[in-house]
Amino acid sequence: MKPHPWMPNSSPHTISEMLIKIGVNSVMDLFRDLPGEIILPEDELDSIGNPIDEYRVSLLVREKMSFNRVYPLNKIFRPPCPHITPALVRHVMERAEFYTSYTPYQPEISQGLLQAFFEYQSMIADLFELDVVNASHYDGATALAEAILMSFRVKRKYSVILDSYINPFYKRVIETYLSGINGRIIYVEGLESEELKRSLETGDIASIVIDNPTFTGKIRENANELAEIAHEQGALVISLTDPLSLGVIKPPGEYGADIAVGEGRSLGLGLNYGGYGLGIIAVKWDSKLVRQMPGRIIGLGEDLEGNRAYLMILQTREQHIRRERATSNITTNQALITIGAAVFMALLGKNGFTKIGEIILKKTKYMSDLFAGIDPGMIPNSGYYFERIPILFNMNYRLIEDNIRSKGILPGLYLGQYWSEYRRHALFCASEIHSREDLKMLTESIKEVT
Amino acid sequence: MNNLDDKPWRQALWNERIVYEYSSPGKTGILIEDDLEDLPVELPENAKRHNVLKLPEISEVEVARHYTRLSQMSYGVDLGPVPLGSCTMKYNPKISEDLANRDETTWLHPLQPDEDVQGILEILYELQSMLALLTGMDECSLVVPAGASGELAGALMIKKYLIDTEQFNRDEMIVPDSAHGTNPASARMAGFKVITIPSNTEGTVDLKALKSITGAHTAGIMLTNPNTLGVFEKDILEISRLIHGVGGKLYYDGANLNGILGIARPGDMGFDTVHINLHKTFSTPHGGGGPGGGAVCAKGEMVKYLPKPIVKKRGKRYYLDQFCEKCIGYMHSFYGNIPVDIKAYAYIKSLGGKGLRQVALISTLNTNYFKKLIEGIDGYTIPYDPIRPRKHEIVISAYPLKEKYGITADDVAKYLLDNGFYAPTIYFPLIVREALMIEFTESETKENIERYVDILKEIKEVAEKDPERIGVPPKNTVVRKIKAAEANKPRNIIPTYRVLAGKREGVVKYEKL
Repeated sequence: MKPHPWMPNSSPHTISEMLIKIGVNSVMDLFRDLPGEIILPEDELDSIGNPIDEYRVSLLVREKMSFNRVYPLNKIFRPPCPHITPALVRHVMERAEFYTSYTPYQPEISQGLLQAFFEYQSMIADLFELDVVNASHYDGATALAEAILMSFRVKRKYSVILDSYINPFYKRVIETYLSGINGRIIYVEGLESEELKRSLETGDIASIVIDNPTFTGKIRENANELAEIAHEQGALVISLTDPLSLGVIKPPGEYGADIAVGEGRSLGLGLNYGGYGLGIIAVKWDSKLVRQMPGRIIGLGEDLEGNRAYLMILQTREQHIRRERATSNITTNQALITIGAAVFMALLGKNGFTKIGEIILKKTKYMSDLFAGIDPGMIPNSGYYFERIPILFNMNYRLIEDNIRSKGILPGLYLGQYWSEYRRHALFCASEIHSREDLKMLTESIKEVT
Repeated sequence: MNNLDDKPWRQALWNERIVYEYSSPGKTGILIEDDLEDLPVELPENAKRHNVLKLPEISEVEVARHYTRLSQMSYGVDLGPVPLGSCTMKYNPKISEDLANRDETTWLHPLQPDEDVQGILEILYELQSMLALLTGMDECSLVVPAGASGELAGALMIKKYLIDTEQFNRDEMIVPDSAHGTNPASARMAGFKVITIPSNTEGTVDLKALKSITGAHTAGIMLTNPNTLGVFEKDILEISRLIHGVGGKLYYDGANLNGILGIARPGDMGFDTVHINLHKTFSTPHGGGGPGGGAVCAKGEMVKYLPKPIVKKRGKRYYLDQFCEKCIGYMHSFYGNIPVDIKAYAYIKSLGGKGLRQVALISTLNTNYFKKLIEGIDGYTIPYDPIRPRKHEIVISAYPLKEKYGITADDVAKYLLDNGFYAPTIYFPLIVREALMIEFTESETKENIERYVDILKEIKEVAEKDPERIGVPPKNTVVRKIKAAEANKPRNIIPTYRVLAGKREGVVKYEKL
């Protein structure tokens, strides 16, 4: 055995001192209670390779990653849309005091970490206009799945109504999460109010999900009405939203959402090939809802001397105490990511969120107008859109897509793969990342090939 | 030698206010260019936000200072030992951080076509294969973003298999009383009834009890091995024959893999599905509670149920296999916590096969060195077969301290904090009274292990002379002992700043939750 820098006791000298104290001849003697037939031959792992030094591992990973094609952010026009990633967000997340720490089960020594989580919860609460926020889920999809399961527990009913055009990446996660308990999903196309009423009248619906903006970017102008319809029939309202939109768009708390969820990736966290999602769950001030909430919640309390002190609260909902009766199995969440999001929210602040929301609305409209300039039939004939808009093509979009990509641009996402009704549509996005020129360059290169 | 009056350690204390309390009207923390200033913002009244957004207004300088100060009031592996049992708080290699946190990763879009992302797919493919080799499984899926997600996936896979093979009566999942809380919680989310089995006097699965409850209703068993006492389930082959004999499946909770990595594999013990925590065994950071990284792996007929997508290779090209005929479905919008996968890949490649095996050897050496030092020390006992070596971790009981001096596991924990050591996992597993669950991992030094034992001894000595002083709560940490019961009362619940502000303003609804 050679000494390794990540294992301080791996020098022959130290090992031998420790073995003498323990009273055994070799470290393998400590494995004498394992059945002999399952002990792995030492060369079994040789295919992983020999230990290599830091420089070589760096070369190895960098070389592999060089086989990726990295589009400049302003050349990406499909969801999840690129957004600004302030340098400070990454710098704070790279503070070793934060990233090498554990879940703050010992609050007295973890106050900084706990306060950062509390601030994340607080700023999300203000964006959503709801009072209680948990310390995160894996991503928007799992947050929504957990919110639906939560509504089932609160209502003791096991059906949920979703728009059939809900985010298709979320839809499949919800279906997986609900499969265990045979939860039922009823799809109502466009959450059309008459059909929504009919579906609710069966009486066994726990909740409806109002996605606003929708997956295809549409801003719902009747969110209040939909929420009222659901509440009249005793169903809970779960809102699915984009936190970056909430400086300008009606937040869930303003149209009566009981529970709201979202994907926080847009809060300065980057694309990361889809990694580092941030699942947000918020609920209104209602004891019944809060007690069925999944995941950790950080609260503010006091120490013995009356100093402000942060700690995990309402832990009797959680798996480490309640085991099979817990509100969820979640423990590890996206903690460090919530700190990044907190930094982002603090940087933008009150005016930043309004401003970025307005910019995104304008960019979306500007892009839409440019497409309309090619052919007025390409854009939806009504409605307001945030960040995304479905664009209609009169020829095979896959061919257009390949052609545009060959110019170093990642164009809209083909929607026909998710819904046959959208077989001629692609979903484009625009954000504060894209300049006027970027958007013109996009639409001009599309014009050339259509 | 330290005593209560002479502390060499003191945590940084900045008296940092809540971020809102630094706000001043008109300040900004960011510049965002708007090259469409000439255009109007079009949004109908009924779609607009009406309430004034209550976020703070702060400059970048102040935000940087605030969060840097908060970081200094936190405690992680880079500051000192975090020997939390079952958490595997090992050193997080800096090279892994550097390799994952680059624009080349951050800018990669999840819906780029496979031909654009051959590099990351190759890394994921190799990671899948190496994890399969290390666990003795046929295939792994990396889409689970944490251990509990892997557990849920594993339980759903067993459920799907039972439905597929029309064994609808099998609705019981067996979980030992020493299991992690996530096991029964995951089994329940997958729709199983949870059957708890007691441990025997050796701290392992009681075979007789197991035999008596297995049968036509058994869906499977969820086990971790070594178990949460750090004891290897030596009857594992018999357990596996028993469960398979009645038609059940074995699920392996990989939280404790660190102690046998490269020495023994769940696949060879008879397990059918496995989950791994990359943030434990494979050194990726815990981040104060996440993001984690996981893998769920399977063998034989269970492979087809793995969640998708999985990276596959055709000729020289890698692709995301989304084909889901029998699979349980999808556990994440995309492919899990990708940067974590890159870090784990860098770690595994750095250590190589031999280095990984060394991880198990040194972490087990550390555990047993501690065990030797604590043996026979007054105030503590080693419950369950004290002779047998422990693996990744050890559980000791502070019950004698409680009995004699009224000193609890929690008191021991706070005393350790006051001396600059993170506390052990306490009151777990539930089968040990006043449990202290300690896992040094391979990253801890011999000197710190000795120092830790000295502090435990000191607690007993001080208790003997002056028990009042142990009850004195921590004074070297940022705050002193927190009044947790108070903070959890319906009248006192403050989960967000708006509730705090509302209470101050006397808003009626916030009076009580």
